[in-house]
Amino acid sequence: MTIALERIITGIEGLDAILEGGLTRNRATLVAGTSGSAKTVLAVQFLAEGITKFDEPGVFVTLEESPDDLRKNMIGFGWDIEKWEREGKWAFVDASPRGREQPIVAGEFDFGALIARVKNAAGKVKAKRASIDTLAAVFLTYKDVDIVRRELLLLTEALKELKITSLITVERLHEYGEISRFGVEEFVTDNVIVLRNPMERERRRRTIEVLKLRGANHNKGEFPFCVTTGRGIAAIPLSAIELKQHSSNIRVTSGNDILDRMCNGGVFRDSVILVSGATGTGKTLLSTQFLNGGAAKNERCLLLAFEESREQLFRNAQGWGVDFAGLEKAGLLKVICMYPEVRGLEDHLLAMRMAIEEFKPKRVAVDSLSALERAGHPRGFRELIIGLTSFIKTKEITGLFTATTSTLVGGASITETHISTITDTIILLRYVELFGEIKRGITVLKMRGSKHEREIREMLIDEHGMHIKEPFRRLAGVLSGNPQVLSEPFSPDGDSHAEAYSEDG
Amino acid sequence: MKFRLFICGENTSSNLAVQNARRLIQGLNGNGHDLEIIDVLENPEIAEEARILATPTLLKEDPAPLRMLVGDLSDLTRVRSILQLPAEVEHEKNDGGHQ
Repeated sequence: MTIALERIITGIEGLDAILEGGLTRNRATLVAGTSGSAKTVLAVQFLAEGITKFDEPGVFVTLEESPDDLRKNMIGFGWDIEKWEREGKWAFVDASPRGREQPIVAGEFDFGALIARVKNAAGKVKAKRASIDTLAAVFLTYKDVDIVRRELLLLTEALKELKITSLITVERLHEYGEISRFGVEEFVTDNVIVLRNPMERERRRRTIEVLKLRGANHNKGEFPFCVTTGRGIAAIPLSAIELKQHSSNIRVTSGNDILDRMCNGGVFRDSVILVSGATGTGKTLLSTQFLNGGAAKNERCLLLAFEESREQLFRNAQGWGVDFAGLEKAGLLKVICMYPEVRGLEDHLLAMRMAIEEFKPKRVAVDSLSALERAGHPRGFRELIIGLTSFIKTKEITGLFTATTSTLVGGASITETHISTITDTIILLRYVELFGEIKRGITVLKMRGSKHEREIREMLIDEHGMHIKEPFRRLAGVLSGNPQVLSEPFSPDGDSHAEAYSEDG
Repeated sequence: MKFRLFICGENTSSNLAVQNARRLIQGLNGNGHDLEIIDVLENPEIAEEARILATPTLLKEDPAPLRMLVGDLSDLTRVRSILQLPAEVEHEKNDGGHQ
């Protein structure tokens, strides 16, 4: 029988989920990363979150940057180190080499002074946490690897005795390969976290990986993270949060009565709807009506637009009889337009999450995902969808994403194949060629956990918006875009309310 | 000249460093040389102020420039050359005589 190790919640967004409940208490964790991988930010944030969220004071041992530089550099993240120092919650152990020439080694030595200073500082603030940033400096000064290994062990033992949970950062030269520069550091600590910052498609993609958490479970693999002003590091624990989704049976309107009927009474509140169709089939209209339907019930709605400008969107809505400007004025709608190319997908995800947290909407429409897909790596795109979907669900928000198919008639988009398993409901909008005329068709392809209509209905668009008509009769192959006229009704009993039930994706 | 020697409690390298530092001072010409010995276990604040990491550490604080030596100072000849001090004339002559 094993006894579960006590954990300490780091407070760093997403990291505790990856760690499955935080770091192991009173143990040392090595944080390895190349230069620019945000090691120092993580080290500072570990203490900052401890102080602000859990009232756990900390000691920061700086071996590279001066305390003054750190105080200045970290204020942008919202961390007022100087204030915490005054309050006796933060103590620096300053071992930065500034303004001093390199020490010269003349005989046997140890790091007794460093350990004595850490103990002294820890006693002063009654520290529960410590960060040591970064070991590279020590290695460069004292070239004896054996001494550093021995002393590092003594230091981690001392911290353990003081009942302090610690992070020790160490520099690596490459993103993959040896964990630490000198190849010994990772053997000294119980836990190892790796921060990476590789180039992918001309963009930096930051990831965090828990490589080792001795005696405790954790999520494996690399998880993307962002570093943002006023917030610091936020990791995106995809698989970790995916499992914790809950769904409700509360139904809400899609914004169109007939579509609600096709969905057996509306869409589920904590669900995500994917609307897929070629350009001009009515995706933006459907999302406009979705938002309008929410606003009509006094729900706050958020539109995250990646394809059209604000003016264009407002004009479109006006053309369909929806007054976006009026809804915004009433505080029921917020329209945020973003250019997909201006930032990486992780940053987009974070920006979207922040917009949601700020506005606290009941509905969110993203128009369109395909625009975002073009801005990044396929893997990053899938991660974004998972991250956004699970976030929306935990916030009890109804989401509607649009995806553009590349071919005008029939066909599936790449977006669709990527994410159809993640979304709960899929609505297809298709052009249908019929008797030399192009018509629009709409159908509910899938609806997780609910009955739904299977027929393909005709849809008209005019100045009042969307009108869903009768199902296409006596036709086969509508979805492919080339329907065949059948001489006999397809349904043997002529039942026009054929229903399907999707068990799962 | 003014020196400060930081040691960490009672141990072999501390004791060796103290002995060697004293020998170094004794070998200097003239009077008024000062060696302050600081145990970091008793005075961590002083170590904090001087940003000392390793023990033993010998600081030559006066005259400028500041010099920092880390270790038990067992190779005094090397220490002297780093600090640009003259060789310890008498002792070394005696040592040489015994060989």
